[in-house]
Amino acid sequence: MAISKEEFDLFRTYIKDKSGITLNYGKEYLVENRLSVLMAQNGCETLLDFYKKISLNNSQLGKKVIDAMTTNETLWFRDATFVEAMEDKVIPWLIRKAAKKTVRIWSAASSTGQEAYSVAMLIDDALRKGGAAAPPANRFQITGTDISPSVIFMAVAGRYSQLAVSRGMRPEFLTKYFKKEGVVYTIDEKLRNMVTFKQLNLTESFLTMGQFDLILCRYVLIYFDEDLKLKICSKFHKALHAESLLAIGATESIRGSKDFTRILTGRSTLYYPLSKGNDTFNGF
Amino acid sequence: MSESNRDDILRTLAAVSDLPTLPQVVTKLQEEMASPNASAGSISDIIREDPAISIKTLRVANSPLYGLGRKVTDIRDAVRVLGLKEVYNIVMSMSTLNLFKSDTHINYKKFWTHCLSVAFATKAIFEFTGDMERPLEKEELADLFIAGLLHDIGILVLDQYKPELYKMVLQKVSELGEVPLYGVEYELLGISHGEIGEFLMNKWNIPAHIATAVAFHHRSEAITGKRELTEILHIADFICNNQGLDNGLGVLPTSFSDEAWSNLNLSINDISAIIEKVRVESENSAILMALA
Repeated sequence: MAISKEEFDLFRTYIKDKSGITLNYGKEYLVENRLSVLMAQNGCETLLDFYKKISLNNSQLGKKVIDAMTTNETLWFRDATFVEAMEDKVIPWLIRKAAKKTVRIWSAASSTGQEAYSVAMLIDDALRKGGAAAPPANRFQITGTDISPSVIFMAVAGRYSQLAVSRGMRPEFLTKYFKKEGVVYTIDEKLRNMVTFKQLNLTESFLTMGQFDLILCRYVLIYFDEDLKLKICSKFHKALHAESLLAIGATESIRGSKDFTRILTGRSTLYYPLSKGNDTFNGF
Repeated sequence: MSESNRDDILRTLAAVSDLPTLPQVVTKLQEEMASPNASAGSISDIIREDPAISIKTLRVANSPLYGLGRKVTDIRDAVRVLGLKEVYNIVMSMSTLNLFKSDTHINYKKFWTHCLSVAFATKAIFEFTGDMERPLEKEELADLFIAGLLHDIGILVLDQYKPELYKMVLQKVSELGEVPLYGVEYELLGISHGEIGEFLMNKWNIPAHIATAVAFHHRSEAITGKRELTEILHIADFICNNQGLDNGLGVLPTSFSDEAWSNLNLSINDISAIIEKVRVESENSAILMALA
């Protein structure tokens, strides 16, 4: 199977529309290879047949196509601006909170664990720098949730290939928080103890999740239509403490939601829940 | 290109006269076990006809694998203590581990250790399954071992009988990284090692449901009807690969079938325990490798 430019563009547009991720030209081979697996699984003979199948509102298959073609986007420390805001503002604020209580963080749609473990690394690093005055690491509870048992398994196992750890990982963190076993990098036991993974469908109830100080739901809401997006935002609002934050992806917007107000300026995508007492965020 | 390759590969294999065959002791055992008159006595008589296999079988029966607590001194005793299917599994392992031994770029020790690890891992996975729509029968549990043992045998067939084409496949896999082997096989060959394995297993008169599990071990969703055996094999293969008990071809799978996991009623809360159990069970593969 060789993919033509027209066929590549069809899938490229589909991925862009559904996920906001742009596939670069030159990646045709990868696309071809990954699609051929899904085509074989779904009994499609040609790429065009397959495209028709996913575009006919087959959202489950569409999600699989996006997952298969955007694996490269599963990054550690995704978005430099966001990571900077986390290190400069959000984590110091959480550490201050942790002096008094257990701080709970939720990585929603956590996939293979990169985001949850990245946050754990940033917190552990900040705590080390804080020295004796810093609260203990067990004051932080990070929960990752995803709908897929397969990605949860990968996250719990915490074993990553060379390619997987090369995507966005800081070299000093790779040395500090991973053990190399053959061709695999295994995540540090201490970080693993900070993070728990659970199965959850974002379209269902969050009642079993409890209350959080920070919810990260980045590059996820883009998969949902406006109505569902607002419903999920409203459920996040209920799952947040009074003084808390919600983070979404840089290309996403929840402007339609009356439950949140955007804080900070520039490219920040942090939101503060309204009507939970004080409507002004004074954390930073 | 791949369609014509598929036809070409199947034609070549159908015409090959020197495809590896199972030793006579195994084919006789298969016939006897299919007969309603099979007994510990008749099975033992067949195994005894092959002294090398008899010795190996006794060594396995007396190894830490079973921890019997007393010495099994003859085949009849082994059959009585371990059961017909278990002894058949030992004979099958001892026979197949020595097939395809010519030197190629495949590391045979790593390859067969993986296959045995998967065979043992299937038992571990089964212990964690919940209620299934179509529960596995006791007999099928023993079949899982054979499915695990032979699940990748198609790789060896392709490597031996289509070496140039298969070299291209392996090269492409190592260039790209993180792509499933069977995906590259479909793309370049139009057929996967699972289906080639099924082809060989049919020649070997292995029961069809075991051959089907091997054929579909990377795409259990494509099976209509009872697919729990295939699903257990699929998950066992994934976990062994994930835990570094891979077949040495440099392919690290990045996902398993969520449908398979859910259908087997496996629990997210058991992941760490499942990994631990798979690691413990798969250590048994070293015992069989050493005795083969």
